[in-house]
Amino acid sequence: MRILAVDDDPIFLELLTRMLFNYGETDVVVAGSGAEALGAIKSAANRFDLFLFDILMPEMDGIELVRKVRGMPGNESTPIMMITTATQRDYVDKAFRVGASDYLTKPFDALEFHARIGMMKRLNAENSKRRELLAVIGKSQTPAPTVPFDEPMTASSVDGMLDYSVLCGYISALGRIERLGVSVMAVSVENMASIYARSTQKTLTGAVGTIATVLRDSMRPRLAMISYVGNGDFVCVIKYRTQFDQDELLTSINLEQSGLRDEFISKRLPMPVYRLGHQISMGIFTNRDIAHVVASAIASARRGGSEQPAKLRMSA
Amino acid sequence: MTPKSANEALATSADVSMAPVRALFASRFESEILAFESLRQEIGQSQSAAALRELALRIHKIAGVAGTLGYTEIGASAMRLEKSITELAEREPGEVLARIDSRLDTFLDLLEAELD
Repeated sequence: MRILAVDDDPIFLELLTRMLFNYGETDVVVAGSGAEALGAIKSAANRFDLFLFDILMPEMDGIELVRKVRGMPGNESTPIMMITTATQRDYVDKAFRVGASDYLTKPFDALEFHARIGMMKRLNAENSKRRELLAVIGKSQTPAPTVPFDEPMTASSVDGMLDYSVLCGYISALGRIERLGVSVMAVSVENMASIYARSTQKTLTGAVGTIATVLRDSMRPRLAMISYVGNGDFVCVIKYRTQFDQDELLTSINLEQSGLRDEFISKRLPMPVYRLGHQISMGIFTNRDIAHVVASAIASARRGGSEQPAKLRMSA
Repeated sequence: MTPKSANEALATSADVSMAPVRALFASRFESEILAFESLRQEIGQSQSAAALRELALRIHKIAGVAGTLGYTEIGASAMRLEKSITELAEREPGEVLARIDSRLDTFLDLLEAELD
């Protein structure tokens, strides 16, 4: 992988470079500031496959750097790993909202470092495949969406929207106490199959982004993150455990969406119809249960929240 | 290989290549102690918010690197200090200093112990 590491501390950059080298990553470019990093990205002959940004830097901090990099063509989906200390939890949330993919906490644990870099490598490989596929489809001008109906996708331009695998990574990286303060809710778009059938990849990405924006704006300020899982299902991470009033929330969503009627009509897409699931508190659970929580949230949304949520017992 | 032993193996292989970085890091301790003492004096005398920010940034940098390079106690002490400063962010610089002063002393003692 071609990696760009950014930190204002030369000793930390040296340490990071050597750790990456130990795991076989030898193509590492370093920058001592956000401005230097942007220059390196602009002048790079080949795109970077992974960015490692320190959060706390003078002048341009890591969050501003993520925002700027995400706005640079060709870097919309390049994995960005934030480097932080345990006291910077708020900064991490902000970084995720502007497009970061994951984070690593200092001091580094050798095994965790290895695993997380490996995960970024896999994310990068998936992105590359997607880009190649899109290039092929673009040439043949095939109108159908390239992402299968039941697979996750994201619209990187939407603030707070994350790739589903990144969202799962975020949840699993939360501390036990932090998990107690968040809950998961799914929203199912009943007529997504119909939207999908009438879409090209571009209009589908646009529709998914618009729906995510509508949901995000309706749940503000409590929504932390949102992902599209596929099959018309969106998963929302809510910051507080207090339950939304389902009727009020559905009304807010429909109000938010009413201003977008022309956008859907101009693309010949039907207006999305929503089903809300119950909020499921995360509680203290192990990483293997995250998929179970998300699956329960989605099942509840597909039922339209008509049944009482099952009280989940999270086993160690 | 158990996770623990895998981690140990990775750490051991890393130790060799990290030795020069560790030496470079340790070579800064003396100048860091002097800088911290000077900043402490400046905050005490002129309530300088800029000096407190500088102090916090220096602690942050040490907190990030020390643990990874095997200076576990220094890293943990720096992290405790960083946490205290973050929690006291709304207070006046002089008050922050008064509250962290004994922790800062412990931290500087740990740095000093590595000078020999």
